[in-house]
Amino acid sequence: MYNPIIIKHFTEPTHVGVLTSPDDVIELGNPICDDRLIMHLKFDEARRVLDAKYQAYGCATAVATGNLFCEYVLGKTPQEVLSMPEEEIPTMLGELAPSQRHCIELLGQLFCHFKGYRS
Amino acid sequence: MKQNYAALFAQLKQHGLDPMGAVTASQAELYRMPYQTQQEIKGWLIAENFRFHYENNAYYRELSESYHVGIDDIKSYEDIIKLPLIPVKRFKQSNSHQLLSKGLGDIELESRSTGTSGIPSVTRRCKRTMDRVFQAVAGVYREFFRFSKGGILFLMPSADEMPEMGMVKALTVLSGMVDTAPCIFKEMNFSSEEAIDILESWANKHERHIVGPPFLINRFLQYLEKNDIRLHLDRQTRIITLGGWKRFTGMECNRKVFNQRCAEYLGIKEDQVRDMYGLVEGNMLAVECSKQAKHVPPWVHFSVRDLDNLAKEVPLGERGLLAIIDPLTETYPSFILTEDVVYLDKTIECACGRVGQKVNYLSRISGAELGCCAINLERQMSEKGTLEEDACLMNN
Repeated sequence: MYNPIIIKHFTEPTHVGVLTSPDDVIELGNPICDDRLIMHLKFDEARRVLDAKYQAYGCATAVATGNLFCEYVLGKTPQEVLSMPEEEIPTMLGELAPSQRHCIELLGQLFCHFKGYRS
Repeated sequence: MKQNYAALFAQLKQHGLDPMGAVTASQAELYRMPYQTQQEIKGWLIAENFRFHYENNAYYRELSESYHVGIDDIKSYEDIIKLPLIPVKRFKQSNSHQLLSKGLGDIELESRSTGTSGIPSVTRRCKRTMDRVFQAVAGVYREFFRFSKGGILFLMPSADEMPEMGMVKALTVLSGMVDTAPCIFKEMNFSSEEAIDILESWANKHERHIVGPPFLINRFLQYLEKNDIRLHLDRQTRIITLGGWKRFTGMECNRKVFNQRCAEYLGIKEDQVRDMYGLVEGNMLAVECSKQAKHVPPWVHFSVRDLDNLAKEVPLGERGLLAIIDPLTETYPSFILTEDVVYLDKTIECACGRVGQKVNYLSRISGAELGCCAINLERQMSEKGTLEEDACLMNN
């Protein structure tokens, strides 16, 4: 049911937690299944992501999505984060069962949030 | 007589058979065994299950060690009180993967329940656990409702609409036991007229049953009352409720009035209304018999703890905090300290002929969030504007 990417990020999370003084907080939720994701981000002077922490409540895939995205953005500027072609974003989560595919949207929303940093 | 079952179960295991499966397949017999025999059986199953989690779950082993409980300390029913308990809140934490005694790759199903905080409690189950859960739940339904035909009208979301909601999953198992089981609840609403049409179309064709959380059946009763409609359902009709009587507003449906309204507007006897108690983190349902006593499945131990000293059980009949000790799951240790205040009936024998613990729910513990699938559903209906208030059936 779970691919190796989801298993790794769910069972060996590296970015769970909160930052004491984050530069930004992303809060996302799915009103139907009640998945909730809260992400704290800290940027350095060059606008690179210095640190990223998350707390996720919900299915294993949603939890894994939080960790995977933190890992992906670390050390990147918003432009670098957004250099990922949109069609490739879903592939970051690997092959998902139908009941897990709502997390592609969750991941898309996280990328979408970074578009706001470009201006 | 003691130790007979322990030897039998050990032999079954040796021969590659699952003792837990043998027990859940023998519910009619088990509910009528002497309580001492039930204790011997559940004691063995719980000790075996403890051993499994101790050996396969680093988090639980560490928890056990912190309580100075080792693998040889839990051997029989008498040792159950020593089992380290997992607070039910732990299932809401973002590191709940630590609860797993099996790898995520073994997980087959995630179920959830969400209370007023909006943070879901997620439970994960592996294939072996799902095999046992389906057998146990279907067996409980067979034992208490004896369904093999008829029609069930579901007044709740379908599994298609809310596949992960624990309450929906548990009740949907009933649908395969009858001839027809439509769900008319769609997009957070249902039509009482449609419900009446369906029930009337089944007259002289199917025994008619209604299943759902109390507040939705309550809403149907309210419609019947408002329009002075009295249905005449069947002698074998069951009105089956799950999800609790507390409303998301903090008010409560009055069970006694609910029963009376069911009798008056559905044309049944009050004892045809059967409530159930369960929680998504558990793997069991305590189902009401014809005497409206909620029977704890004989393989599960309900340990009611002293509110001032959680290490101590209170005597039968006294209120306390419920710990559910369930040997059914291999996915996570189902030794759970709930946030529900309950008491157990003083008598072990029931007038219905069954033997065992009987639970009575009182309230949530002070400070706990209101939490269950039904309350979450009601909250969503309220947000969508499809919830109608019914002052006449509520009290504080």
